[in-house]
Amino acid sequence: MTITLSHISKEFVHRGRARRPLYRDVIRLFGGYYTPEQTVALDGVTLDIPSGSRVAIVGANGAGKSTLLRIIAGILQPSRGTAAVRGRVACFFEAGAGAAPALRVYDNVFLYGAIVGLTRREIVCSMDEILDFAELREHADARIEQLSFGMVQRLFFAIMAQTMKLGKADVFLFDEWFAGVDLRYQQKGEELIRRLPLARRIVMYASHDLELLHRLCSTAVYLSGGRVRMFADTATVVERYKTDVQTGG
Amino acid sequence: MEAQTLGGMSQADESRRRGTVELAFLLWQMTRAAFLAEEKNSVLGLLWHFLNPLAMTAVLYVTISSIGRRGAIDQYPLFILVGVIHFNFFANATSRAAEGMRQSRSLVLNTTVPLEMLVLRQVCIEGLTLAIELVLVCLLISVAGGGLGAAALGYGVVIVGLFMLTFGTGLLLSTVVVFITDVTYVWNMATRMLFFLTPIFYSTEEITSAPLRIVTAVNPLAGAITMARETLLYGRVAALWHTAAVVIAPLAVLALGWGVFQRFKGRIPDYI
Repeated sequence: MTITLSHISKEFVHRGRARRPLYRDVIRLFGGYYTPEQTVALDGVTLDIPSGSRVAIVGANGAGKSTLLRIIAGILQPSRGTAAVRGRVACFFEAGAGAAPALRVYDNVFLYGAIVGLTRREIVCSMDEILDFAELREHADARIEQLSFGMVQRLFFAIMAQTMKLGKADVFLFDEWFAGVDLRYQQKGEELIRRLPLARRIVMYASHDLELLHRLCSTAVYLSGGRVRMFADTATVVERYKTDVQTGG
Repeated sequence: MEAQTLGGMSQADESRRRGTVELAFLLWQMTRAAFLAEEKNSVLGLLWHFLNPLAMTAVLYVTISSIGRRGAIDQYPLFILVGVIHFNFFANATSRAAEGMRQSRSLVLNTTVPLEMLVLRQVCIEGLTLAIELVLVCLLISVAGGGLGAAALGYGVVIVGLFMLTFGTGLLLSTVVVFITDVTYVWNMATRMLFFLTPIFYSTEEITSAPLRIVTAVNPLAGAITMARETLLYGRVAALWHTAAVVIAPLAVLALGWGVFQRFKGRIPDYI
């Protein structure tokens, strides 16, 4: 299982982000001042990540962390460059993406489990374990919308944890997944990720929580302006990032 | 699995790939969740699936009968009802599908769920509604002493054809709407026009206008609704050419929709 990114660039055309009526573009075109507005999210990123790695991704807002993870997941296509990902990918970018707030916790375990790739049998067999890990067994019949944000995060983290335990993927990608959960549960989640056998796997984690990244990951990628500024051991990368933030570099 | 992305080539195809059983389970869960969520947010819930087509049928029946244009159609209220439920399935499912990608932004950008499933889910939600309405129709046909004999088996062809037509149109619309949002409005207007251009409250034999005859002949929905009535309501076996037409035209629409969707789906996450 390896991830090999070679000169990956990603540009977003603004029209996709800021919609406007077509006639405005036509007026601009005839006015002679039409140029498609683009944002460069990634610019020539080259990385080679071997199996058995826990890799942190650090960088300021807009540095390209989420875009990089989405390209590795195959959700976004690069504008230029080559991405080769060996192994099945499981991504956890938004807790409960596609969940049904009006339905019960129990129903959402089935729904979100199916979304992240668990089979019916696996969910049935894992239901108790998921509810226990989420500490929501007594809330199994409550609707998701009745739970607090942290409880919802715990539920979806528990489902994700089950996909990890069942070895449903070789590459696990996380984007700020501990946001909203209390410290005790965060430690529980960290422990689970740390205990995951890494022999054939890759875990990548993007976050602004540098302490967490330091504890979880042995290596780190520092992104700035869509470029890789540094790819080294986490301590060195975090130190460099902190220095850059302080000096405005 | 090896996923290779070369410039604009699709790694998405690889990372979103799942087994058939896995896909069926995912489709069922997504459809069920959306269907139940809508039911829970409604006061009358499932009853709407009976009330809506019945109310529409009553309005059409009273209006057409009162202006004396009813013609000599056997079991006219059921004739309208069969037309209404099949038309509603097509119109509602395609309208839902048109918004399928934009309404599923979170799933598109944060999960590896195959994008086709997001369109298929919208069709299946309306498919559940059609199934509930069909129970009502079959009950009413039985009470009225109509068809529902061996010929009703031919109705399976109608379902297959209608499903392909709706899914194909949905794929096409969901792709186009991502890039040109206004198509949603155009499609809403088009389905309203289609309601009058499809034999829902009149039969094809009654059409005297040559242009409308041509429109009806090329309208795959007209063929499906006519065959649904023949098999379900009147207990007649449809002609072979009619049966073939009910499947072949929708198959062409599905092939077109699938082709366009595959061509552009890699760019969808960039634009929603």
